[in-house]
Amino acid sequence: MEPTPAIAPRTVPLWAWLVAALALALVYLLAADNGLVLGRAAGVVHELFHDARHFAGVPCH
Amino acid sequence: MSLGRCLRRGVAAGAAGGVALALALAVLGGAAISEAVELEEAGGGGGGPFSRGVQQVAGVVGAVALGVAVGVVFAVVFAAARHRLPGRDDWRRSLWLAAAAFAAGHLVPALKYPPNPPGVGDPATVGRRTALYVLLIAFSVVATVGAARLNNWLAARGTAAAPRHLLAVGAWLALVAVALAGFPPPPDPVEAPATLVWNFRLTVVGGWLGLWAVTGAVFGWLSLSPAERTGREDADSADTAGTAAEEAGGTSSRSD
Repeated sequence: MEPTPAIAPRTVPLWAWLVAALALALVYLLAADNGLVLGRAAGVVHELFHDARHFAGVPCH
Repeated sequence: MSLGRCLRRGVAAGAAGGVALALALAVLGGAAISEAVELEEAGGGGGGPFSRGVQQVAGVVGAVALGVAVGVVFAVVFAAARHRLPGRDDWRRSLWLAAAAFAAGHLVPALKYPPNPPGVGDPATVGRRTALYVLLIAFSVVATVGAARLNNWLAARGTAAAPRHLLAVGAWLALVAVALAGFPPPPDPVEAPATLVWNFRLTVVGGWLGLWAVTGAVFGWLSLSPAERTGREDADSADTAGTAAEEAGGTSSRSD
């Protein structure tokens, strides 16, 4: 690993971090929620994306 | 490059990575999942509101959606960490970040809490298992960022490459070992056939490897200028710059 000091650092604005947080929340809702956020609908989401959830390696059932 | 452009690259790269995951799911993992579902139903469990066909199609769609979301996060982290990432161009930086994301986000958590096919897992413990899994991902991401920062900090102090790499990788391994030993074991017994479980786990690791390899490669490729892609116009100057940067990396001080 050779760090390259030649590049100037950039400040990533808040909105971009919020977009990233939103994407992470989407990953959680689609792949890992079991009712904590979605409540009863989590069961339907779980069954629908069943194969993707298992294949993502997320704890299931 | 503008941040909006960087995000669009992330979406494109993540979508391509998601397609790789979906392909692995459809071609390699689908059989194991269907077999496990049949076993589950034969045992009196399973059976949901959707048919297997719907689940298989939604599984592929879900895998692509996961890829896009992961690609967006990748792009934002890349923009913020670009000046700290190893490598002399965005191709190398992108591949490094993707490799780190695979190791920290999937490989380490899977060593402690390996993925299981349908039918394994007690619904009563799923909340606890999910919390442990998310916590371990968070821990291994922090450990990976910490080790990378240690490497860069030592570089800024003028530490030579070999001891610096040994210290950074050693610190990372120590943190990972502590987490793997310290986190509680997965609570549920695995009673599905061992061959089925093993094949399933291998295809899941392969699927994530594919997702990160494709995401990192597509993002890196899209970040390069046409001249950098072919290496024709400035091959000589790029080589010189690379050597100079490598020498500077070990000796000069850094601005951050």
